[in-house]
Amino acid sequence: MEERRLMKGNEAFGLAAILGGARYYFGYPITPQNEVTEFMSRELPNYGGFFLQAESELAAINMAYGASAAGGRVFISSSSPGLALMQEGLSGLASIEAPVVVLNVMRGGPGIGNIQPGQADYYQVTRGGGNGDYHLIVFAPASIQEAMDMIVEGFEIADRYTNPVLIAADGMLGQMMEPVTLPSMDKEYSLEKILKTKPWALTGHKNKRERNVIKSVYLKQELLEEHVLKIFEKYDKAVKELPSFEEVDLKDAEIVYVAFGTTSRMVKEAMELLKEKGVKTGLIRPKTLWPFPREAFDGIDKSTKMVVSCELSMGQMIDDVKLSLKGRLPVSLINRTGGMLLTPGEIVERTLKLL
Amino acid sequence: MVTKFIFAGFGGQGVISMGQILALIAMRRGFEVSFMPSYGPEMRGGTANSTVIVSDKKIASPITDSIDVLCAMNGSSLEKFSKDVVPGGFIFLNSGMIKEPFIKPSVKSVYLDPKKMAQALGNEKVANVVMLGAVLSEINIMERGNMDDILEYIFQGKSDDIISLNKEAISLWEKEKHRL
Repeated sequence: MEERRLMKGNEAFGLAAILGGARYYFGYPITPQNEVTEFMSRELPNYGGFFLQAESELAAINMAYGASAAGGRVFISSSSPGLALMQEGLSGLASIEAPVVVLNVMRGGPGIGNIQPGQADYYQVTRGGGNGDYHLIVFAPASIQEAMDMIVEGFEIADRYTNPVLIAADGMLGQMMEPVTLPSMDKEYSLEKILKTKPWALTGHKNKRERNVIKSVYLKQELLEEHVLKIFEKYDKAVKELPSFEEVDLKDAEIVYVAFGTTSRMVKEAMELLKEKGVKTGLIRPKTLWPFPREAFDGIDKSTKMVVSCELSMGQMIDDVKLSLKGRLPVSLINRTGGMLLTPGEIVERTLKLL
Repeated sequence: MVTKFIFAGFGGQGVISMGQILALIAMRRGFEVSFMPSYGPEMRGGTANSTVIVSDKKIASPITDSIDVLCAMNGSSLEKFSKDVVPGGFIFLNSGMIKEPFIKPSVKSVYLDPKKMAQALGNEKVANVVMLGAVLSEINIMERGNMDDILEYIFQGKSDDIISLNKEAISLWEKEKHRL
Protein backbone atom coordinates (compact mmCIF):
# COMPACT_ATOMS: atom_id res chain seq x y z
CA MET A 1 0.00 0.00 0.00
CA GLU A 2 1.17 3.52 -0.76
CA GLU A 3 2.07 5.68 2.20
CA ARG A 4 -0.80 7.69 3.63
CA ARG A 5 -0.21 11.30 4.61
CA LEU A 6 -2.31 13.30 7.05
CA MET A 7 -3.06 16.48 5.14
CA LYS A 8 -5.07 19.62 5.74
CA GLY A 9 -7.70 20.04 3.02
CA ASN A 10 -6.44 23.37 1.69
CA GLU A 11 -2.85 22.13 1.37
CA ALA A 12 -4.01 18.89 -0.24
CA PHE A 13 -6.03 20.89 -2.82
CA GLY A 14 -2.92 22.89 -3.74
CA LEU A 15 -0.78 19.76 -3.99
CA ALA A 16 -3.41 18.06 -6.17
CA ALA A 17 -3.35 21.04 -8.54
CA ILE A 18 0.43 20.81 -8.85
CA LEU A 19 0.28 17.03 -9.37
CA GLY A 20 -2.45 17.60 -11.95
CA GLY A 21 -0.02 19.75 -13.92
CA ALA A 22 -1.00 23.29 -12.86
CA ARG A 23 1.94 25.62 -13.35
CA TYR A 24 0.16 28.97 -13.00
CA TYR A 25 -1.64 30.15 -9.86
CA PHE A 26 -3.16 33.57 -9.26
CA GLY A 27 -4.89 34.35 -6.00
CA TYR A 28 -5.97 36.88 -3.46
CA PRO A 29 -6.20 35.90 0.23
CA ILE A 30 -9.57 35.04 1.76
CA THR A 31 -10.46 32.78 4.68
CA PRO A 32 -11.16 29.82 4.84
CA GLN A 33 -8.90 29.02 1.85
CA ASN A 34 -5.77 31.02 2.74
CA GLU A 35 -3.63 27.90 3.15
CA VAL A 36 -4.12 27.18 -0.59
CA THR A 37 -2.49 30.49 -1.52
CA GLU A 38 0.20 30.04 1.14
CA PHE A 39 0.94 26.52 -0.08
CA MET A 40 1.12 27.55 -3.73
CA SER A 41 3.45 30.48 -2.97
CA ARG A 42 5.79 28.06 -1.18
CA GLU A 43 5.56 24.98 -3.40
CA LEU A 44 4.64 25.97 -6.96
CA PRO A 45 8.05 27.56 -7.77
CA ASN A 46 9.70 24.26 -6.72
CA TYR A 47 7.91 22.58 -9.63
CA GLY A 48 8.91 25.25 -12.14
CA GLY A 49 5.55 26.97 -11.75
CA PHE A 50 4.55 30.61 -11.50
CA PHE A 51 2.81 32.06 -8.43
CA LEU A 52 1.40 35.56 -8.29
CA GLN A 53 -0.61 37.20 -5.53
CA ALA A 54 -2.93 39.54 -7.39
CA GLU A 55 -4.20 42.86 -6.07
CA SER A 56 -7.81 41.63 -6.12
CA GLU A 57 -9.97 38.70 -7.17
CA LEU A 58 -10.92 40.62 -10.30
CA ALA A 59 -7.25 40.86 -11.26
CA ALA A 60 -6.62 37.18 -10.39
CA ILE A 61 -9.38 35.83 -12.67
CA ASN A 62 -8.22 38.04 -15.53
CA MET A 63 -4.63 36.85 -15.08
CA ALA A 64 -6.01 33.31 -15.28
CA TYR A 65 -7.81 34.37 -18.47
CA GLY A 66 -4.55 35.50 -20.05
CA ALA A 67 -2.44 32.56 -18.91
CA SER A 68 -5.04 30.04 -20.06
CA ALA A 69 -5.43 31.76 -23.46
CA ALA A 70 -1.68 31.36 -23.88
CA GLY A 71 -2.00 27.60 -23.24
CA GLY A 72 -0.95 27.41 -19.58
CA ARG A 73 -2.50 24.98 -17.13
CA VAL A 74 -4.06 27.36 -14.61
CA PHE A 75 -5.43 26.89 -11.08
CA ILE A 76 -7.14 29.59 -9.03
CA SER A 77 -8.91 29.51 -5.70
CA SER A 78 -11.13 31.71 -3.61
CA SER A 79 -14.06 31.62 -1.22
CA SER A 80 -17.69 32.71 -1.71
CA PRO A 81 -17.51 36.55 -1.71
CA GLY A 82 -14.21 36.36 -3.60
CA LEU A 83 -15.79 34.07 -6.20
CA ALA A 84 -18.60 36.61 -6.57
CA LEU A 85 -15.98 39.13 -7.69
CA MET A 86 -14.74 36.65 -10.32
CA GLN A 87 -18.07 36.12 -12.09
CA GLU A 88 -17.41 38.49 -14.98
CA GLY A 89 -14.14 36.68 -15.70
CA LEU A 90 -15.76 33.23 -15.49
CA SER A 91 -18.37 34.23 -18.09
CA GLY A 92 -15.52 35.49 -20.26
CA LEU A 93 -13.50 32.27 -19.83
CA ALA A 94 -16.51 30.19 -20.89
CA SER A 95 -16.96 32.42 -23.93
CA ILE A 96 -13.32 32.30 -25.05
CA GLU A 97 -13.37 28.54 -24.29
CA ALA A 98 -10.38 28.60 -21.97
CA PRO A 99 -9.73 25.72 -19.56
CA VAL A 100 -9.14 26.73 -15.93
CA VAL A 101 -9.73 24.84 -12.68
CA VAL A 102 -11.34 27.07 -10.05
CA LEU A 103 -11.58 26.03 -6.39
CA ASN A 104 -14.32 27.58 -4.26
CA VAL A 105 -13.93 26.87 -0.53
CA MET A 106 -17.44 28.00 0.37
CA ARG A 107 -18.32 29.98 3.49
CA GLY A 108 -21.39 31.56 5.08
CA GLY A 109 -23.21 34.31 3.16
CA PRO A 110 -24.80 36.46 1.81
CA GLY A 111 -22.56 39.51 1.66
CA ILE A 112 -19.26 39.25 3.51
CA GLY A 113 -21.04 36.71 5.76
CA ASN A 114 -18.54 34.85 7.94
CA ILE A 115 -15.68 32.36 7.70
CA GLN A 116 -17.65 29.25 8.72
CA PRO A 117 -18.53 26.48 6.19
CA GLY A 118 -21.52 26.92 3.89
CA GLN A 119 -23.16 25.58 0.71
CA ALA A 120 -25.19 28.65 -0.22
CA ASP A 121 -23.11 29.23 -3.37
CA TYR A 122 -25.07 26.46 -5.13
CA TYR A 123 -26.89 29.01 -7.29
CA GLN A 124 -23.71 31.04 -7.81
CA VAL A 125 -21.79 28.04 -9.16
CA THR A 126 -24.54 26.17 -11.03
CA ARG A 127 -26.69 29.05 -12.29
CA GLY A 128 -23.83 31.44 -12.90
CA GLY A 129 -23.36 34.93 -11.49
CA GLY A 130 -21.83 36.00 -14.77
CA ASN A 131 -23.77 37.26 -17.78
CA GLY A 132 -24.91 35.40 -20.84
CA ASP A 133 -25.44 31.79 -21.86
CA TYR A 134 -22.78 29.62 -20.26
CA HIS A 135 -22.19 26.88 -17.69
CA LEU A 136 -19.38 25.94 -15.38
CA ILE A 137 -18.70 22.24 -14.95
CA VAL A 138 -19.05 21.77 -11.18
CA PHE A 139 -17.73 18.97 -8.96
CA ALA A 140 -18.63 18.60 -5.26
CA PRO A 141 -16.12 16.54 -3.24
CA ALA A 142 -17.10 14.98 0.11
CA SER A 143 -13.61 14.09 1.35
CA ILE A 144 -10.11 15.47 0.98
CA GLN A 145 -9.06 12.45 -1.08
CA GLU A 146 -12.03 12.86 -3.40
CA ALA A 147 -11.26 16.59 -3.76
CA MET A 148 -7.68 15.78 -4.79
CA ASP A 149 -8.85 13.25 -7.35
CA MET A 150 -11.47 15.67 -8.72
CA ILE A 151 -8.91 18.49 -9.05
CA VAL A 152 -6.51 16.24 -11.00
CA GLU A 153 -9.34 14.98 -13.22
CA GLY A 154 -10.70 18.54 -13.44
CA PHE A 155 -7.72 19.67 -15.52
CA GLU A 156 -8.33 16.90 -18.06
CA ILE A 157 -12.04 17.74 -18.25
CA ALA A 158 -11.38 21.49 -18.51
CA ASP A 159 -9.02 20.79 -21.44
CA ARG A 160 -11.43 18.34 -23.09
CA TYR A 161 -14.41 20.73 -22.91
CA THR A 162 -12.32 23.93 -23.16
CA ASN A 163 -14.39 25.36 -20.32
CA PRO A 164 -13.78 26.34 -16.68
CA VAL A 165 -14.23 23.53 -14.15
CA LEU A 166 -15.22 24.52 -10.62
CA ILE A 167 -14.55 22.46 -7.50
CA ALA A 168 -17.20 23.31 -4.89
CA ALA A 169 -15.59 22.48 -1.54
CA ASP A 170 -16.51 24.12 1.75
CA GLY A 171 -14.75 25.59 4.77
CA MET A 172 -14.96 22.31 6.63
CA LEU A 173 -13.15 20.37 3.91
CA GLY A 174 -10.57 23.15 3.64
CA GLN A 175 -9.77 23.22 7.36
CA MET A 176 -10.04 19.55 8.35
CA MET A 177 -7.31 16.90 8.07
CA GLU A 178 -7.63 13.37 6.72
CA PRO A 179 -5.19 10.73 5.50
CA VAL A 180 -4.66 10.82 1.73
CA THR A 181 -2.71 8.87 -0.84
CA LEU A 182 -1.28 11.11 -3.52
CA PRO A 183 -2.53 10.98 -7.11
CA SER A 184 0.25 10.20 -9.56
CA MET A 185 1.97 13.10 -11.27
CA ASP A 186 1.43 14.15 -14.89
CA LYS A 187 5.10 14.10 -15.91
CA GLU A 188 4.63 14.85 -19.60
CA TYR A 189 3.41 18.38 -19.05
CA SER A 190 5.53 20.63 -21.23
CA LEU A 191 5.22 23.38 -23.80
CA GLU A 192 5.48 20.82 -26.64
CA LYS A 193 2.47 19.04 -25.23
CA ILE A 194 0.54 22.29 -25.04
CA LEU A 195 1.22 23.01 -28.67
CA LYS A 196 -0.08 19.58 -29.66
CA THR A 197 -3.28 19.59 -27.58
CA LYS A 198 -4.14 23.29 -27.73
CA PRO A 199 -3.84 24.43 -31.36
CA TRP A 200 -5.98 27.45 -30.44
CA ALA A 201 -3.51 28.76 -27.82
CA LEU A 202 -1.83 32.12 -28.28
CA THR A 203 1.73 30.84 -28.40
CA GLY A 204 3.12 33.07 -31.16
CA HIS A 205 2.65 32.17 -34.86
CA LYS A 206 6.14 33.29 -35.98
CA ASN A 207 4.71 33.69 -39.52
CA LYS A 208 4.46 29.87 -39.77
CA ARG A 209 0.71 29.53 -39.34
CA GLU A 210 -2.47 31.60 -39.38
CA ARG A 211 -2.72 33.77 -36.31
CA ASN A 212 -5.02 32.57 -33.53
CA VAL A 213 -7.68 34.97 -32.31
CA ILE A 214 -9.32 34.66 -28.88
CA LYS A 215 -12.22 36.99 -28.14
CA SER A 216 -15.59 37.17 -26.43
CA VAL A 217 -16.99 40.07 -28.43
CA TYR A 218 -19.17 39.27 -31.47
CA LEU A 219 -20.87 42.46 -32.59
CA LYS A 220 -22.84 40.75 -35.37
CA GLN A 221 -25.76 39.00 -33.69
CA GLU A 222 -25.71 36.10 -36.20
CA LEU A 223 -22.11 35.37 -35.29
CA LEU A 224 -22.72 35.55 -31.53
CA GLU A 225 -25.67 33.17 -31.81
CA GLU A 226 -23.53 30.81 -33.86
CA HIS A 227 -20.77 31.03 -31.24
CA VAL A 228 -23.16 30.32 -28.35
CA LEU A 229 -24.69 27.35 -30.20
CA LYS A 230 -21.19 25.94 -30.72
CA ILE A 231 -20.46 26.24 -26.98
CA PHE A 232 -23.77 24.58 -26.16
CA GLU A 233 -22.92 21.59 -28.36
CA LYS A 234 -20.17 20.93 -25.79
CA TYR A 235 -22.66 21.35 -22.93
CA ASP A 236 -25.02 18.82 -24.57
CA LYS A 237 -22.09 16.41 -24.63
CA ALA A 238 -21.23 17.22 -20.99
CA VAL A 239 -24.82 16.47 -19.91
CA LYS A 240 -24.49 13.01 -21.51
CA GLU A 241 -20.95 12.24 -20.34
CA LEU A 242 -20.27 13.89 -17.01
CA PRO A 243 -23.11 13.46 -14.46
CA SER A 244 -21.80 11.49 -11.53
CA PHE A 245 -23.29 10.42 -8.20
CA GLU A 246 -23.07 7.96 -5.33
CA GLU A 247 -26.16 6.09 -4.17
CA VAL A 248 -26.52 4.40 -0.80
CA ASP A 249 -29.26 1.96 0.34
CA LEU A 250 -31.99 3.11 -2.07
CA LYS A 251 -33.64 -0.32 -1.96
CA ASP A 252 -36.60 -0.43 0.47
CA ALA A 253 -35.84 3.11 1.67
CA GLU A 254 -38.77 4.99 3.15
CA ILE A 255 -36.99 8.32 2.89
CA VAL A 256 -34.26 9.25 0.39
CA TYR A 257 -31.90 12.09 1.27
CA VAL A 258 -30.10 14.16 -1.34
CA ALA A 259 -26.92 15.81 -0.06
CA PHE A 260 -23.59 16.90 -1.54
CA GLY A 261 -20.14 17.59 -0.12
CA THR A 262 -19.46 17.34 3.61
CA THR A 263 -23.19 17.45 4.42
CA SER A 264 -23.55 13.99 2.83
CA ARG A 265 -21.20 12.64 5.52
CA MET A 266 -23.39 13.89 8.36
CA VAL A 267 -26.36 12.35 6.52
CA LYS A 268 -24.57 8.98 6.28
CA GLU A 269 -24.06 8.91 10.03
CA ALA A 270 -27.69 9.97 10.61
CA MET A 271 -28.76 7.05 8.34
CA GLU A 272 -26.95 4.58 10.63
CA LEU A 273 -28.63 6.09 13.71
CA LEU A 274 -32.05 5.89 12.01
CA LYS A 275 -31.43 2.26 11.02
CA GLU A 276 -31.06 1.46 14.74
CA LYS A 277 -34.49 3.07 15.26
CA GLY A 278 -36.01 0.94 12.47
CA VAL A 279 -36.28 3.75 9.88
CA LYS A 280 -34.98 2.78 6.44
CA THR A 281 -33.33 5.63 4.58
CA GLY A 282 -31.27 6.02 1.42
CA LEU A 283 -28.99 8.67 -0.03
CA ILE A 284 -28.28 10.18 -3.42
CA ARG A 285 -25.04 12.16 -3.36
CA PRO A 286 -24.44 14.25 -6.49
CA LYS A 287 -20.70 14.36 -7.25
CA THR A 288 -21.37 16.76 -10.12
CA LEU A 289 -23.66 19.73 -9.41
CA TRP A 290 -23.60 20.76 -13.07
CA PRO A 291 -24.47 18.68 -14.98
CA PHE A 292 -26.83 17.54 -12.21
CA PRO A 293 -27.18 13.72 -12.13
CA ARG A 294 -30.91 13.58 -12.87
CA GLU A 295 -30.81 9.88 -13.79
CA ALA A 296 -29.88 9.08 -10.18
CA PHE A 297 -33.50 9.70 -9.27
CA ASP A 298 -34.70 6.88 -11.55
CA GLY A 299 -33.14 4.52 -9.01
CA ILE A 300 -35.53 5.54 -6.23
CA ASP A 301 -37.51 2.53 -5.01
CA LYS A 302 -41.34 2.23 -4.94
CA SER A 303 -41.03 2.01 -1.13
CA THR A 304 -39.92 5.66 -0.94
CA LYS A 305 -42.52 8.12 0.36
CA MET A 306 -40.47 11.29 0.53
CA VAL A 307 -37.24 12.90 -0.70
CA VAL A 308 -35.34 15.21 1.63
CA SER A 309 -32.76 17.71 0.41
CA CYS A 310 -30.12 18.34 3.11
CA GLU A 311 -28.19 21.54 2.56
CA LEU A 312 -26.19 24.24 4.34
CA SER A 313 -28.32 26.92 2.67
CA MET A 314 -31.95 28.03 2.66
CA GLY A 315 -32.58 25.39 -0.03
CA GLN A 316 -30.92 25.85 -3.42
CA MET A 317 -30.07 22.34 -4.70
CA ILE A 318 -33.70 21.46 -3.83
CA ASP A 319 -34.69 23.13 -7.15
CA ASP A 320 -32.66 20.55 -9.10
CA VAL A 321 -34.05 17.77 -6.90
CA LYS A 322 -37.59 18.84 -7.81
CA LEU A 323 -36.72 19.17 -11.51
CA SER A 324 -35.28 15.66 -11.44
CA LEU A 325 -38.29 14.14 -9.67
CA LYS A 326 -40.82 15.87 -11.99
CA GLY A 327 -43.42 15.91 -9.21
CA ARG A 328 -43.28 12.15 -8.55
CA LEU A 329 -42.65 12.50 -4.81
CA PRO A 330 -42.98 15.18 -2.12
CA VAL A 331 -39.71 17.00 -1.37
CA SER A 332 -38.74 18.41 2.04
CA LEU A 333 -35.75 20.38 3.25
CA ILE A 334 -33.49 19.80 6.26
CA ASN A 335 -31.01 22.65 6.44
CA ARG A 336 -28.91 25.07 8.44
CA THR A 337 -27.34 28.23 7.08
CA GLY A 338 -25.13 31.20 7.92
CA GLY A 339 -22.15 28.97 8.75
CA MET A 340 -24.08 26.64 11.10
CA LEU A 341 -23.60 22.90 10.55
CA LEU A 342 -26.10 20.05 10.45
CA THR A 343 -25.05 17.46 13.02
CA PRO A 344 -26.08 13.80 12.60
CA GLY A 345 -28.24 14.16 15.73
CA GLU A 346 -30.14 17.13 14.32
CA ILE A 347 -30.77 15.33 11.02
CA VAL A 348 -32.22 12.34 12.93
CA GLU A 349 -34.44 14.55 15.07
CA ARG A 350 -35.78 16.57 12.13
CA THR A 351 -36.31 13.42 10.04
CA LEU A 352 -38.40 11.80 12.77
CA LYS A 353 -40.64 14.90 12.79
CA LEU A 354 -41.21 14.52 9.03
CA LEU A 355 -42.47 10.93 9.36
CA MET B 1 -15.38 0.51 16.53
CA VAL B 2 -15.54 4.33 16.41
CA THR B 3 -14.19 6.67 19.09
CA LYS B 4 -14.98 10.38 19.01
CA PHE B 5 -12.77 12.85 20.84
CA ILE B 6 -13.17 16.55 21.50
CA PHE B 7 -10.27 18.62 22.85
CA ALA B 8 -11.47 22.04 23.99
CA GLY B 9 -10.06 25.08 25.73
CA PHE B 10 -8.76 28.62 25.28
CA GLY B 11 -6.80 29.48 22.16
CA GLY B 12 -3.14 28.91 23.04
CA GLN B 13 -3.67 25.89 25.31
CA GLY B 14 -2.74 23.52 22.51
CA VAL B 15 -6.09 21.85 21.88
CA ILE B 16 -5.63 21.96 18.10
CA SER B 17 -2.16 20.35 18.40
CA MET B 18 -3.52 17.67 20.74
CA GLY B 19 -6.06 16.68 18.12
CA GLN B 20 -3.48 16.72 15.33
CA ILE B 21 -1.01 14.58 17.27
CA LEU B 22 -3.72 12.05 18.18
CA ALA B 23 -4.84 11.95 14.53
CA LEU B 24 -1.27 11.27 13.39
CA ILE B 25 -0.72 8.56 16.00
CA ALA B 26 -3.99 6.85 15.05
CA MET B 27 -3.19 7.05 11.32
CA ARG B 28 0.29 5.58 11.88
CA ARG B 29 -1.35 2.78 13.88
CA GLY B 30 -3.43 1.95 10.78
CA PHE B 31 -6.76 3.52 11.75
CA GLU B 32 -9.04 5.70 9.67
CA VAL B 33 -9.05 9.17 11.17
CA SER B 34 -10.48 12.65 10.72
CA PHE B 35 -9.45 15.89 12.41
CA MET B 36 -11.69 18.95 12.43
CA PRO B 37 -10.52 22.19 14.06
CA SER B 38 -12.80 24.98 15.19
CA TYR B 39 -11.53 28.35 16.30
CA GLY B 40 -12.09 32.06 15.92
CA PRO B 41 -9.87 34.53 14.08
CA GLU B 42 -7.74 35.23 17.20
CA MET B 43 -4.22 33.76 17.64
CA ARG B 44 -4.52 33.75 21.47
CA GLY B 45 -7.60 33.73 23.66
CA GLY B 46 -11.06 33.03 22.37
CA THR B 47 -12.29 29.46 22.43
CA ALA B 48 -10.86 26.66 20.36
CA ASN B 49 -11.60 22.99 19.96
CA SER B 50 -10.76 20.07 17.75
CA THR B 51 -12.75 16.96 16.96
CA VAL B 52 -10.91 13.74 16.20
CA ILE B 53 -12.70 10.59 15.03
CA VAL B 54 -10.75 7.32 15.13
CA SER B 55 -12.31 4.28 13.48
CA ASP B 56 -11.49 0.93 11.93
CA LYS B 57 -13.94 1.80 9.12
CA LYS B 58 -14.31 4.72 6.71
CA ILE B 59 -15.44 7.80 8.65
CA ALA B 60 -18.76 9.43 7.80
CA SER B 61 -19.29 12.63 9.78
CA PRO B 62 -16.14 14.50 10.89
CA ILE B 63 -18.20 16.40 13.47
CA THR B 64 -20.22 14.87 16.30
CA ASP B 65 -22.86 15.49 18.92
CA SER B 66 -22.13 12.21 20.75
CA ILE B 67 -18.69 12.48 22.36
CA ASP B 68 -16.84 9.43 23.73
CA VAL B 69 -13.88 11.34 25.15
CA LEU B 70 -13.93 14.99 26.17
CA CYS B 71 -10.75 16.75 27.16
CA ALA B 72 -11.77 20.00 28.88
CA MET B 73 -8.88 22.38 29.38
CA ASN B 74 -11.07 25.06 30.98
CA GLY B 75 -14.44 25.55 32.67
CA SER B 76 -16.33 26.99 29.73
CA SER B 77 -15.35 24.01 27.54
CA LEU B 78 -16.60 21.62 30.21
CA GLU B 79 -19.87 23.52 30.37
CA LYS B 80 -20.26 23.58 26.58
CA PHE B 81 -19.47 19.95 25.75
CA SER B 82 -20.05 17.78 28.87
CA LYS B 83 -23.77 17.37 28.06
CA ASP B 84 -22.86 15.61 24.80
CA VAL B 85 -20.60 12.98 26.40
CA VAL B 86 -22.25 9.56 26.02
CA PRO B 87 -22.76 7.02 28.87
CA GLY B 88 -19.57 5.01 29.28
CA GLY B 89 -17.55 7.98 28.04
CA PHE B 90 -14.65 9.84 29.62
CA ILE B 91 -14.08 13.43 30.65
CA PHE B 92 -10.52 14.59 31.29
CA LEU B 93 -10.48 17.77 33.37
CA ASN B 94 -7.69 20.28 33.68
CA SER B 95 -7.77 20.64 37.46
CA GLY B 96 -5.48 23.65 37.24
CA MET B 97 -8.35 25.59 35.64
CA ILE B 98 -11.43 23.72 36.86
CA LYS B 99 -11.67 23.88 40.67
CA GLU B 100 -15.24 22.65 41.19
CA PRO B 101 -15.70 18.86 41.31
CA PHE B 102 -17.65 17.61 38.29
CA ILE B 103 -19.92 14.59 38.41
CA LYS B 104 -21.89 13.14 35.52
CA PRO B 105 -23.55 9.74 36.03
CA SER B 106 -22.09 6.85 33.98
CA VAL B 107 -19.18 9.00 32.77
CA LYS B 108 -15.67 8.52 34.13
CA SER B 109 -13.94 11.73 35.19
CA VAL B 110 -10.14 11.96 35.27
CA TYR B 111 -8.54 14.96 36.98
CA LEU B 112 -5.04 16.16 36.30
CA ASP B 113 -3.11 19.42 36.24
CA PRO B 114 -1.06 19.05 33.03
CA LYS B 115 0.54 22.49 33.34
CA LYS B 116 1.94 21.67 36.79
CA MET B 117 3.17 18.29 35.57
CA ALA B 118 4.78 19.92 32.51
CA GLN B 119 6.49 22.49 34.74
CA ALA B 120 8.05 19.59 36.63
CA LEU B 121 9.56 18.50 33.30
CA GLY B 122 10.96 22.00 32.91
CA ASN B 123 8.68 23.39 30.17
CA GLU B 124 5.00 24.18 30.66
CA LYS B 125 4.48 24.39 26.90
CA VAL B 126 4.17 20.60 26.74
CA ALA B 127 1.13 20.63 29.08
CA ASN B 128 -1.06 19.63 26.12
CA VAL B 129 1.14 16.62 25.33
CA VAL B 130 1.02 15.57 29.02
CA MET B 131 -2.79 15.76 28.79
CA LEU B 132 -2.85 13.75 25.56
CA GLY B 133 -0.59 11.16 27.20
CA ALA B 134 -3.14 10.78 30.00
CA VAL B 135 -5.94 10.33 27.44
CA LEU B 136 -3.98 7.65 25.57
CA SER B 137 -3.11 5.93 28.84
CA GLU B 138 -6.73 5.68 30.04
CA ILE B 139 -8.48 4.96 26.72
CA ASN B 140 -7.60 1.57 25.33
CA ILE B 141 -8.55 2.06 21.71
CA MET B 142 -5.12 1.30 20.33
CA GLU B 143 -2.01 -0.38 21.47
CA ARG B 144 0.19 2.34 22.85
CA GLY B 145 3.43 0.52 22.23
CA ASN B 146 6.48 2.67 21.83
CA MET B 147 5.45 6.06 20.50
CA ASP B 148 9.00 7.34 20.08
CA ASP B 149 9.08 6.81 16.32
CA ILE B 150 5.74 8.57 15.87
CA LEU B 151 6.84 11.57 17.93
CA GLU B 152 10.06 11.72 15.92
CA TYR B 153 7.94 11.78 12.75
CA ILE B 154 5.62 14.49 14.12
CA PHE B 155 8.40 16.73 15.39
CA GLN B 156 10.82 16.12 12.52
CA GLY B 157 13.00 19.15 11.93
CA LYS B 158 12.81 20.19 15.62
CA SER B 159 15.78 19.94 17.98
CA ASP B 160 16.59 16.72 19.84
CA ASP B 161 15.72 18.49 23.11
CA ILE B 162 12.19 19.27 21.90
CA ILE B 163 11.71 15.69 20.71
CA SER B 164 12.92 14.09 23.95
CA LEU B 165 10.85 16.57 26.01
CA ASN B 166 7.71 15.53 24.12
CA LYS B 167 8.59 11.84 24.53
CA GLU B 168 8.82 12.38 28.29
CA ALA B 169 5.62 14.44 28.33
CA ILE B 170 3.48 11.88 26.53
CA SER B 171 4.43 9.06 28.90
CA LEU B 172 4.39 11.14 32.12
CA TRP B 173 0.85 10.27 33.23
CA GLU B 174 1.39 6.56 32.61
CA LYS B 175 4.49 6.69 34.83
CA GLU B 176 3.18 8.98 37.53
CA LYS B 177 -0.52 8.19 37.87
CA HIS B 178 -0.10 5.59 40.58
CA ARG B 179 1.75 8.09 42.72
CA LEU B 180 -0.72 10.95 42.25
